[in-house]
Formats: sequence, structure tokens, C-alpha cells
Amino acid sequence: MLKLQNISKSFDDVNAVRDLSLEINEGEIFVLLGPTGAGKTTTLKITAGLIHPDAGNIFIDNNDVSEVPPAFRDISFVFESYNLFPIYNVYDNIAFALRSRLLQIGSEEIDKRVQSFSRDLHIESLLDRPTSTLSGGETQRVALARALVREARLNLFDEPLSNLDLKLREELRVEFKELHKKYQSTIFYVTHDHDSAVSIADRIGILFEGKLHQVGAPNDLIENPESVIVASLINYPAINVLNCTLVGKKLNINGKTTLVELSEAEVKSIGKITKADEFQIGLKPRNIFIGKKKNMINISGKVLHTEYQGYNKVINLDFIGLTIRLVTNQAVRLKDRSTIDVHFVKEDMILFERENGMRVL
Amino acid sequence: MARIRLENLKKYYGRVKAVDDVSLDIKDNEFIVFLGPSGCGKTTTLRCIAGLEPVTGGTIYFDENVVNGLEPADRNIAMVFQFYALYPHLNVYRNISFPLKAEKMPAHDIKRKIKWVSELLRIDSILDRKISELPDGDKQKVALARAIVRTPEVLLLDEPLSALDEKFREQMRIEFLRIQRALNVTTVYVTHDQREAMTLADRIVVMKDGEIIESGEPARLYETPHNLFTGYFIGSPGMNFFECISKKDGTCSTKNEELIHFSKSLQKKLREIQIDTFIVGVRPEYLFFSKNFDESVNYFKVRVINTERIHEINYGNFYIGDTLCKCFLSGETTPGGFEGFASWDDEKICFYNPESGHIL
Repeated sequence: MLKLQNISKSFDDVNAVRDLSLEINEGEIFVLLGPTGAGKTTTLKITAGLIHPDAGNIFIDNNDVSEVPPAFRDISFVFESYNLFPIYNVYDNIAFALRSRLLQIGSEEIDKRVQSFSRDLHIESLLDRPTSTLSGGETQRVALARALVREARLNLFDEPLSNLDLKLREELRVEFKELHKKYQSTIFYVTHDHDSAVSIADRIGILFEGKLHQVGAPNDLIENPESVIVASLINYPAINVLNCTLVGKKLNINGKTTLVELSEAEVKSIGKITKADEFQIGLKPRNIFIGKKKNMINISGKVLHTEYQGYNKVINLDFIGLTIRLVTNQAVRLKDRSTIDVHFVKEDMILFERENGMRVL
Repeated sequence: MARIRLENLKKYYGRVKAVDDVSLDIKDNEFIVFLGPSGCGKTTTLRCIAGLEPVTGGTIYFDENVVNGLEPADRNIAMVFQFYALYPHLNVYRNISFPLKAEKMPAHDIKRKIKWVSELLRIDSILDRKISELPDGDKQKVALARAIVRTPEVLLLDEPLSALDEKFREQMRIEFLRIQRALNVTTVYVTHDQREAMTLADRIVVMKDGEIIESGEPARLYETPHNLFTGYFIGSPGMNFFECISKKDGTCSTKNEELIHFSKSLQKKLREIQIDTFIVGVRPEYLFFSKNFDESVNYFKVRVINTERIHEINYGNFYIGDTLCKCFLSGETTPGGFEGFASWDDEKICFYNPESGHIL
């Protein structure tokens, strides 16, 4: 439905977006996830036509819209700072775009749509209120209604939930999904909030320093990250990344301690990808378990600190000078500075080449 | 080393009661976190302790001494804010030495102190770097170093991590703990981030609308919140709450007449409580979804509308009446729109009075 082709944009010396290509399908929620400064908002503004790219083309329904002005692209945009009109009440804010002469919609139809979206977003009782009297959550609902009511070809959302507190965010996420189920609109959503991305996306694109690193369904990215950057951004709590050296079949840490011995086949398959011997092991905190177990990789470490997080505890372990984090929901009480045994399965380990960060195993 | 005691602390701005009759005992070396939504009065309370705000009423004690009349500089406290308030054009060393120079400390003592604090915070390698060149995480470490270099009795921290990126925030949480344990200093920390509060605190003080809702160890507040608000605010996702009505024939149902089946022992407990309408609180993590049910346990029927993965746990969203709830899904899940039963263990449930919001 939307196709961005080789988009680049720089501001002065900064390459905000670097040769970015992606496609968004009809009716899907596509989330671009990346830290502050990754180029997310720039990408969105280029899609909307608010910024002109240095290079590349934008297609909507196979039509090149690169030179089409924003108002004629049939796109709605929700900004992080909602930009509601403070002088109008809620109803007029929602109806505003529909009253555009470009659209030629009758007032009965406008009323029907405003009422219907207000009901779905639970703001029907607020329609007469001036927007300045609304709470943060209410304001955000009005902004969503105002964008969705247009039933535009494509809806762009720039961090629409990040100004809300955690609790409102949790509630709106669920409503957002239900609303999408009903209207099946195409949504291009950018955020730095990992939780929102994983929760609402059909597919996620990982953007880092202006470059699109990987695109896939949330579970797909979590299970099969192609690079250490993707693995670090998609996992919470953060994935453990340990530097290691491949000596023969052995993966050595800190130069001498052998953590894992690879099979012949594994060494062979790595050899096909790279000649390097410096790697990084990626290991999810949830894949490390307390206790010793036969035929698994067993290590012991000193407990630095346990982070209590309710259902989960995050245990920080010192393992020969490296910090390893593991997550458990077992009811264990571990004293700081005590030594404990932990184990993991070799298959849960991901291996990245150190130099370029790409996955090799 | 200091004990802090707040006695009926009040701070009003005109008619707005920012802090309303707050009483609290903070033990020597305790790490206290004030947690609550914005506008709950947590920062105002902290500023009253610091002496930055004159109080409207009540008494603040440090050990046995009333400090109400004392200037901030005379209270032997140190503060760190969300925005570091460092001198960007000066290097790290000069930023940290600033308060010591102001005290006219001899040069060799300053050197010794800075060596100590920079090693403690692991910033000894960046002492000659300019503040403006440092990443945000390091800036906050320097701000902390400058605060503790005078070895204050009380350390006050106002949302020190909320301006940082998630990555730095995780690292700095652990740093704060390590340093607080090493220093043995009474610490009061203000945040709206429940995850931070749970990780750091010896004791969390939950605040709302200028009042203390309750205080307790993180684990207790998570497992058995004594108030609905605590259960809602602590944990991500928060606790499920729904109204329940017990009928004459001994059965229970929701407002919409959907049956809720309680085990024998919970039924007995409910009879002892003797209340017709009450609120059930149960954590999503303790509410298990299954296709079938067992008569002996607690269960009710649910229709999962969609599923959500939060921190590698799959949750099912469903409604009880118009209340959104979440349950724990194990194994493979489909996108949503399926029916089954949600069940829980006896000890994982709390009952609340719908009027007061307090635990029964």
C-alpha cells in the first residue's frame, strides 16, 4: 500500500535517514521502533510530505506521490504533542478535517462519523467540552478520533502514547488494537517505547542511526534477530552480550575461560559466513536458569544485586568480571555476594560477529 | 546518618493541598521511594524535607532536632534533580569540587575527596572531560558525585533518571543502589516509575492527591496491596479489579450476573467478611487461562478479545462488564477472540471494600 524506496535525508552533517526502503501492507499496523534520534519522525514526515527527501521515492497504491503536496496525499497525522485547537470544543476538533472543502462531505455524514468514532473511543460524553479542560488521556483520545474519523488511506502516528503515564498507555494500547480490528485502517506508527511496539504491531521495523535494520513480526524479531542491534532493541530486559573469541571449536571469554564448545557443523557454518574469530554471544535473561543441570552449559557467578520487579526478579551476576543478567519468577531469596550456579541451553545462544554485529549462528 | 520524621506535614498553595497531613518515619540508612502519579505531592514533600519550601503546617525532624526553621544549607543534605544543573563549560573535576571550594576546604583534602568519590562512581577516568562532551548517563553520575562528595547525612533525589534513555536508566538504577549501599546514607527518592521504585526501595511510600495511600516493602505492595490504588499503580500490567456480588444462595457473580466460582476455603472467608458487594483484586500473572476448569478451584468464564505480549509474557485481554482485565496465557496463542476459563490460587487473591478501597 505504502512503499518507501531508497529514501535518504540529511540535515547539515547528520544523516537522519539513510537509504531506507520499506513496504506497508493494506490494513496493517506497522511500527518503526528505535531510540531517540534514530530518524523515526523524519521518516514519518517524509511520508506525509512535510519534509522533502534528498533522494528516494514514495509510492501510495503504486502511485509516485513524491511531488504531491501533503493535503493531497490522503494521509492523517497524529503528533506527539496533539495539536488540538484550544478554541474549539471536542466535537469541532474531530469534525474539523471532515469539513474541508476538498472533501465535500455533507453535515449529516460528518455528524454520523463523529458520533460513531466518539463512541468507539469512549469520548461521546465530552463532545461539548472545550479541549483545554480535558485530561491527558482524554486529549489523546480526541486526537486519535480526529485522525481516524477522516478514514484516510494511511494514518501516521508519531509517539501518540508516549506523553501518557504508564497506566493510561496500557489501557489505550488495548483499545487501539480493538479499534483497528473494527476499521482495518492502515497505520504507520513510530515509537521508542518497546512495550507499545511489541504489543500493538503486526510488523516492526528496527531503525537505528537512520538505517532500517530488520523488519518482521514482533515474535519473529525477538526469536530471530539478525544483528546485535536488533537483539538489543527488541528484548526487555536487555539481552546479555558477551565478547568472546573462537579458538578451534571453543568460544573463550576473557581470553582464557571456555564458555561453550561448538560442534564441527556449527564451526563450519560460521566459517562460511566469516573468517573472523572475534564474536559476541547474545543470551536472553529469560533463557538462563538457576541451578546445575546435566548436559547443559553450567556456570557459577556471584550475585551482585537482585532487582525486584513484582512477578519477575532480575538477578545481576558477576561471572569472571562480566555482568550477566537473568530473569526468574521463582520464589528465591538470593543474598548479595553469594555464589550461585546457573545453566542455559546452547541452542538459546545467538552468535554475532563482533566487527559488524551481524548474526552468524 | 540521620532518621527523618515527618509529623502531620502540610503544604498548601492557596486552596490546593499539595501535601495534606503526611506523617512518616524514615529509618537511618533507609532507602525510601515516594511513588505516585504527577501532582500527587511527592516532589513537594521532598522539597519540604530539603527546606526549599516553607511548610504550611507540621514538623520535620532530623533525628531529634526540628529542622523546620533551618535553611537548606544548614540541614546537611544533598540533592540531585532530573536536570543535572552542572556547569557545562567546566570539566568533571571542577564541577565536583565546586561545593567543597565553597566550603573553603583545603586543596589536598579536596583532592582526596574527589579521588574517593570518582572511584566510587567509576568516573575517575573522565575527570578532565568537559560536561558538554559527556553522554547523559555520565552527566547524571557527575551530578550524583557532586551531591555525595560532601558526605551528607541525607540524600534527596528528584526523578533523577526520568530524562535518560531506557538503556542508561537500567544501568543507573543499579548504580544508585550500589552507591547507596556503599555510602550508608538515608535516601529519599521521588519517581512516578513503579519499576524504578520496586527495584530501588527498601520501602515504597505510595502517594496520591497529597496523601500517603500506604507504605511497605516492594514485595508486599505487589503481592498484597492494602489499597486499590496501590494495586493499580504498582506492577505493569497493574492488578485486575472487578466488582463481585455474593448472593443469598452462597454463589457469587459479577455485576452482569456472570458466575464467579470460589473454592470452599474462599467461600468460607467471604462468609466471615460478611459483605454483599466487594471488589476482587488479582494480578494478571496469577490469573491463568485454560480451555477447561476444575470444580474445586476458583474460576470464571472469559472471552479473550485480543492478546498482548508484555516483557515476554503473553496476556489475554478480556472484559468483565466494562472493566478491562488481563490473564496469563501459557503456550502458543492465537490472535484473540476465544473463550475459556480464568482460574487462580486461593492465596493470590485480595478482597476490597468498594467504598473505602481498603483491603478486607
